[in-house]
Amino acid sequence: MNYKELYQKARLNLNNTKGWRTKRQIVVFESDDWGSIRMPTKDTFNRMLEAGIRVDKCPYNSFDTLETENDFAALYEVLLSIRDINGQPPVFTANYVTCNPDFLRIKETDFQEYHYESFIKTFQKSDACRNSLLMIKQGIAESIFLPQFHGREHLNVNRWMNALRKRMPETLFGFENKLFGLSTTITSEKRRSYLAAFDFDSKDELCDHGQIIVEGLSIFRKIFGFSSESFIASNYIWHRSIEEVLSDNGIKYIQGTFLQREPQGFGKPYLKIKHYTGFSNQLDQVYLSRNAYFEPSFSMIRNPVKECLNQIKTAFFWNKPAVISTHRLNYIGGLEAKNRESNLVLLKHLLFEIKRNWKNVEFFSSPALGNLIMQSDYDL
Amino acid sequence: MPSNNVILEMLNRGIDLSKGVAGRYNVYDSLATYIDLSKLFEVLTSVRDSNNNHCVVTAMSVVANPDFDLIAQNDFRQYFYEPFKLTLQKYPGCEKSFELWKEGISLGIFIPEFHGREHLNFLRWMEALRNGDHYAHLAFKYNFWGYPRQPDSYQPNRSLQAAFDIDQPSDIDIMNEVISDGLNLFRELFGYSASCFTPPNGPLNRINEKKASEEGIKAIQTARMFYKEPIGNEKTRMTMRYLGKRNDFGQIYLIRNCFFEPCGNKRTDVISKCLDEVEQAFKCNKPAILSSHRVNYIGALKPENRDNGLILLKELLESLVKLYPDIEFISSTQLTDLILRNEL
Repeated sequence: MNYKELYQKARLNLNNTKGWRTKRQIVVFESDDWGSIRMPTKDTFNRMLEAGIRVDKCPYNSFDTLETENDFAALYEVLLSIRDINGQPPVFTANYVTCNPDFLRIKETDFQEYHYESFIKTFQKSDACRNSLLMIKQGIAESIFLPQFHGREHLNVNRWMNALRKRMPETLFGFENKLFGLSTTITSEKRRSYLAAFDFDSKDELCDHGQIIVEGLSIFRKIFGFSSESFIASNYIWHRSIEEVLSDNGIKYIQGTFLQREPQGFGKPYLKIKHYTGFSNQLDQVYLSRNAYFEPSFSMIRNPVKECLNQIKTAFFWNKPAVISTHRLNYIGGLEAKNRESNLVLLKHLLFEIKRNWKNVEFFSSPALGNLIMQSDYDL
Repeated sequence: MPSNNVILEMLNRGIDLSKGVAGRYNVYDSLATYIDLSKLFEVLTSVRDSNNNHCVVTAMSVVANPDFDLIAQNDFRQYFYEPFKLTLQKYPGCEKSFELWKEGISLGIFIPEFHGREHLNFLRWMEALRNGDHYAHLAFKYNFWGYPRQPDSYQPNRSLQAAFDIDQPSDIDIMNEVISDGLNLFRELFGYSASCFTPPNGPLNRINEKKASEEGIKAIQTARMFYKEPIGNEKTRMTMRYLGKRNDFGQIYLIRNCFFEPCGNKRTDVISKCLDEVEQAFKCNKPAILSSHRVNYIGALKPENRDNGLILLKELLESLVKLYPDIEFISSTQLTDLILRNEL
């Protein structure tokens, strides 16, 4: 074990020392980015590459696109292949952004106005996604897929629109190809992330963020027919004040990692705020902190199954639920069929090993975990 | 909550007061007894800051409570209130509490500021009583109003605690009178004018802010940054508030950025969370404004609640003094003056 690994291990243990505890062996899968177009098509990917933008260097830009009927079918097959002690299959808490930019209408206004469309509308534009909504509903009915709120769009509207108005070349080229999510790691433009929807350069933008959340949650309710109980901020960046708007609109649980990065305005570094599972804020919202990662699409992880199992073991050692982060990109075959296929083999292996190692394991969704924590709160 | 007996009586009638977000207030919160205050003062005076001052609590105080007897005698047609000094006489253990209030002020460790005339939206409450709300009357019988609203309560979504929330624009004028009355009573009780105001639960229309400003209020305290200003007819206007922001009437907003609420909070390590919040505040070169409700220090109903709250408070204060040798404890009143003089 090298120094870096040792440090990571120590930190993981340290982060698990605080917070809500249970003797129950609970596993939660939290999967972000559903509903977002990210890399809209293989054509776009190729055009970017031809233009010299190294989209192939970023896993999100290489693999992540709108979820198709086939993606759902393949994922569900794996999820339904295993049951916990209560007979419940693993459930993916699928964090949805409810909208994508409406490129056509934005262009019509010459980048003066921002317009969005719900992801249902985006689904309809692609043959492969035409039945995706039905598949979501099937997943909900079978308790293996539970949509929750990830934002109105996975986009920092203000930052992106400003860049478009300034005609920044790569951003504009992306726009022409219906792409907004060019990672900062591969663009030659000197700019901050477009993906961190709730980041800001000036505190004045917070009012817009409030409005975005109110609209996003209302669209969420319209699409799914129920209210989201939990929220995860894109890129784990949000300002504490938006928790108030979330609370007003029914959000009881806040997903995240151990660290929230809180923007402080232009030029100032993020304030790092620690969160532990079960801790709550003054609005009585409960934080759920991820303490395990299963992200096989990131090639730098050598043995994703083994690493994830170790993290679950650490969580259970400290009597903590294992909350596993596993982004949508791992299960998407729309751009690279092999990405989905190989990762689902790994997921199946992971699930099998979880069951083999911990016979009493229980699969929970994020709101179910939040609810369990809330129930154990006041025993007056 | 007047007494433990009331909790039992209500439970016998099928209403569990310990449930819901207000549960901790119903089970633990009551008027501070002489013992509650003296034990709190003991903890506050156990630490000293870099200026050799003790820790100071800005006690956001409501100055009155409903006069249940008079209201009932008038068959709920008219609302009456009594100064809280009178209510203290009716609560066992509180008869001499007011002497300690005055002592706290003179020692500079307990500085009352204005929280409203009463922690009650009397317009809504009287309307519920007049409309025969079963629960309102049941609670009235036991001299309280903080019962959890039931689905079949009269207008269950309208908070009774949000004293200055308005249902129709015409309520604004009535609230202006309440503010005026309340601040006059405050002056009578404490011998000085209030300069900070925390409207119960937050809602306050800007015309009422203006009235408060005319009556000497220089700062509005709040825990929220996204502020929903009530404008009547169930409509609100959303605005942003931040520490030091000035409104049209020259008042500043004080935003609480740290929370120390141990009562009923068994999941969270309240001390380490609060220390984190203080650290964050100092990192951003902001004062740490701690929110800590009375309920955390009240033993009138359950003595162990007060003892637990005070043990944790002492630990918190000792940690703060140790971690930040340059720390200064000041009241919201002093902070307001500092900001207004731009000395921060």
